[in-house]
Amino acid sequence: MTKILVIGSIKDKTTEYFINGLSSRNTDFDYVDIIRLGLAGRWHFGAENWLEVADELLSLDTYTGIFYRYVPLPKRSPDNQCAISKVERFCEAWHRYLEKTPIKVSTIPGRNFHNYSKGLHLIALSPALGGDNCTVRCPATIVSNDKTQLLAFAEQSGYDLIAKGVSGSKTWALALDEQSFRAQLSNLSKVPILLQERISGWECRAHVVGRTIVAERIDCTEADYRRKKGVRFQQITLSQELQSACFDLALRAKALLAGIDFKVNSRGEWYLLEVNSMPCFQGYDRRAGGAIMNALVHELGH
Amino acid sequence: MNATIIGGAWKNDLTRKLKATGLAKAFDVVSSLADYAVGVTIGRDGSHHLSAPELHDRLIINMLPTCFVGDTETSTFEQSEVCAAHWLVLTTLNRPPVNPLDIECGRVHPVDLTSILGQSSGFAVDGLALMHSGPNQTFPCQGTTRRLGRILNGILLPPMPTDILDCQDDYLVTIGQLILRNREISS
Repeated sequence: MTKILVIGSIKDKTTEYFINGLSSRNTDFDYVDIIRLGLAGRWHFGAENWLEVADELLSLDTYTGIFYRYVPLPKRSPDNQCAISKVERFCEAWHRYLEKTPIKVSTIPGRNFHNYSKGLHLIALSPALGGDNCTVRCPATIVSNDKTQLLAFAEQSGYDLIAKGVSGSKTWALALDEQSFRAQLSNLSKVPILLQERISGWECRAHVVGRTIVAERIDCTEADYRRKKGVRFQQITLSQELQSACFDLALRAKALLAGIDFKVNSRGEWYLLEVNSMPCFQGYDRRAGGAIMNALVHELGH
Repeated sequence: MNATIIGGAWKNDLTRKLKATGLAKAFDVVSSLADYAVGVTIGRDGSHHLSAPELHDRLIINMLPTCFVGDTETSTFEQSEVCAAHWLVLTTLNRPPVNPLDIECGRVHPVDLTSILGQSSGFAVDGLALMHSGPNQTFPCQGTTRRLGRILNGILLPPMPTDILDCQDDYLVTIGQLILRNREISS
């Protein structure tokens, strides 16, 4: 019998969306606020696994799946230091439990250390690209603080570049041409940056949920569509080869739920940008008529 | 053997203690790996190439930074010690992992310890420690130390005291010794 445990924060839009989605589908679930649990709750992980919040005891073995979103904790101050430490310790224990439990879990934070570094992330996922006869490529990329190397790379890429944050933290992509790149060169003396060849074309976000793929074509003339208006979205079906690559990528990212970003150039060549193992999927799901939610409920409910 | 210690308020202390062991002869302490010219290029097929000529044949001991600064929209080009962590993570790729063991350093810096302590591929980085802790035991050092302590406990080192915060100096030295010994064995 389906029963899903949701752990996160209602302040997180994706968690809120997921809860509303469960309610509208009449799916049985329990919701636990992670901060409240960490601060005032009790828990036990071992032969028996349970959480207790506000005198309510939740046996973890009764759930078919767990939807989990790790939320950034409040900033530390002298007043809340102990409280934050307490929540952190719960999260540490909780994440380890999630790694061990046989119950299906939407997201397990820290499972892939390579997610923290965009360069490392690409390298780690590259076996899924298929080698010489690859279905998917990745954009030529450099992470360096060496001006000579960066200049050589920029020249090789025809000064048609994208600069991104080096880490997995959310950053905005920045398009660079020769003029803007050279204008920044003086800042590069001791600063590693990530440059990629710019792939001109449309984007694709494919959400993988178990064995389901929900893909969307995104047309935008700007380098980063996430903050632009007038972006066009269209649901698409991926070829068998691309679907296989997506499943492989999600597997390598150890993610039940993954948001995979591609760029497709005018020759129809697909380039992998990244695999997000904790995607904010609500916008994509609305446009897909709830297909991602349906797949998630199915996966976590069986 | 030459050694380079990178980053962290503890580096001077660690240098002193490692020198005292007599295992490493020369130390080069830098504030950040960004002080070296290091590059990683990734081809369209995902193949990668590391370029770090200055780091050849050196033992690199990285005190991974726990201050998560920069790396936002406006600071893509700003100096940020956090970026140095990426070099280290990337350079570890050159070492075949053995018994993968993920360790979080600070809030956001996971590293595979055994791949670092493992085999030497003879390129770029010869060793890597992954400990960072501030002298004041402030966030996020406590968590880092505990995590590291828990993982080391029973795997690499004898059991630790309950509160390892009181003796982390000693463990830093032990980690250094382990790396140095490992280097000797693998070479």
